[in-house]
Amino acid sequence: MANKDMQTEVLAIMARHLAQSAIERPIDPEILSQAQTTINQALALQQQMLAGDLSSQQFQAHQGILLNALRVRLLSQGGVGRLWAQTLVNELADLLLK
Amino acid sequence: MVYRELSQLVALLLLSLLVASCSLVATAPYDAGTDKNLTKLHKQTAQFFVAAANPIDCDYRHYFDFYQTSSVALSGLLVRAKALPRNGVTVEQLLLLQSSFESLAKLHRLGCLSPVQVADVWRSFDTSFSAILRLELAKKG
Repeated sequence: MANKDMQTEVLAIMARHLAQSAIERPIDPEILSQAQTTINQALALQQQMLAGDLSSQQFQAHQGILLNALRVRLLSQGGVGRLWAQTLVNELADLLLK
Repeated sequence: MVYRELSQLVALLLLSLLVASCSLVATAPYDAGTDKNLTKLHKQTAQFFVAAANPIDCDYRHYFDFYQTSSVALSGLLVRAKALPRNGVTVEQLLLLQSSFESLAKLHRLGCLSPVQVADVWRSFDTSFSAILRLELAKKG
């Protein structure tokens, strides 16, 4: 998938989850901000991989560390907000590993 | 008669409140061992990143001791965390941290870490350590 398509899809996922969370679940701006930073880092890594500066194995290991940190952070949150955020991260992880 | 019924009703209400308040305590109590060992592992990890940012030798084998020591430390933390009741969230966090250490070793085995990689990965590890410690310290209250 091209980087631009990936960015569009990431933004669509973020927007959908943000809309859902606004209706039925509490929003934690800190989590959203960290999710956005993580995704930006992962997209930068993907660009390095497409440019040939990084192998796919290196990409997977590195982005695995990034997403794990976000998941660990989310686990410190309580309740439904945490479950929603975990769903968001899992969807983004699936997308990045496509 | 009315007072007796009323007092029974109040007693029932208080009992319900007691049961409801007990159900809110869903996590393990604070564990000083986890706090101490995790802080120690964080220090070792920070020392590794400082060394990796300015390496004398960037090869994975040069850092083998660090990977071995951190693996043993995490195993100890997990055994302790699993032994505590209602500690599932901390266990899950430590499993994710263990997975991150494995990914770091894998990344390093594939080649020397660039300064950008070191900075990115260091930040991610700091986020993880802070979150686990934050939860542990919150159990104090």
